[in-house]
Amino acid sequence: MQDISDDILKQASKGDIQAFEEIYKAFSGFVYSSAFRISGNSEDAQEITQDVFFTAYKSLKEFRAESKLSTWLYRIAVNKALNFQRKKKLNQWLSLDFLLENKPDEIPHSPAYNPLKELEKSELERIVQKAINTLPDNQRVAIILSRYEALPYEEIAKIMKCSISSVESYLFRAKQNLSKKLIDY
Amino acid sequence: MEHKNIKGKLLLYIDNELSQPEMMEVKTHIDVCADCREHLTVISGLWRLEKVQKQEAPRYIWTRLAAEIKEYEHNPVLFDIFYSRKKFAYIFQPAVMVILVFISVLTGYFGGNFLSREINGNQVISNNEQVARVFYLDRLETEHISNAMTIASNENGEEILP
Repeated sequence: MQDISDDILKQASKGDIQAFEEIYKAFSGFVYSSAFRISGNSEDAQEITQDVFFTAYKSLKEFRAESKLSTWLYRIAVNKALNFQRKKKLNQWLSLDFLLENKPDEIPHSPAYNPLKELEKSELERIVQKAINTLPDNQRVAIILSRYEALPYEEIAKIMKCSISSVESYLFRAKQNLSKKLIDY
Repeated sequence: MEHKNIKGKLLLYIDNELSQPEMMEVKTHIDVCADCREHLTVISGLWRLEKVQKQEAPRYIWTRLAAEIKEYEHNPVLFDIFYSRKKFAYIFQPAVMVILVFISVLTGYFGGNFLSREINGNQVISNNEQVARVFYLDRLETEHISNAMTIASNENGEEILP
């Protein structure tokens, strides 16, 4: 993850769009990636990413650098992704879309994509991702940030606004639940 | 039961996060149970997969975002009003739907009664009464045809089939 200089941060907080683009370039990858993991599909992840950065642009003046910019953005991303999913579920329920069969979740692939070689891997990843998607919100966020983003517990605790021991507990329970969900494989 | 219990702890076993006695319990079981050992191999494969590379956000997100920011900068107050309206649509949409359904039911109920009164001129009758009358007249007509057919059949000495 790239670091952003104080100058760029200052300019962006004053509304300089080019400086803000630098911030976007540095952090859009991981925001998109975690939004994708939480929402489970690329279209939603794109919308969440756009919303995260738009909120960041509007609130950058209030950012006091008490935590890292990445932690702040992660926190916005996680909250937006969870809210987006809740609203989507509510909308599906209201429009009776839940009666239709759900599309299988997509799995992102690397740029050097080899279909045959990656097929089995994608399938296995899809199984784990599907199991992760059924976990309660806290456990899901903790496992995504820990497993896919490889963040230390301390940073996960800051993002989730909880103690490190709570993160450990979420992860323990998440792994326990996942083991049970994967019994049939 | 023991197999299920062991399988339910395997991810924690792989990540070495069980207590010492539990680690020993799982290890001892796996050494003697071929089924659980095979399951451990599969689960390890799933769990220790090479982490998926971080994704590059599609470039057009920035294009859309830049356009949104431009629109916001043009008139922040108006933009916020429009934006919050979009957010409240989640609440307004179902509320408007419920009101529309309610209005439709009421219109059907009162409108139906009103029309039945109009058709019958000065005589005020309810919908149910009107339905009952139509049904009764239908039956009278059927009985009338049936009687006429019976008479015709008797006069010619042979049965007339409808």
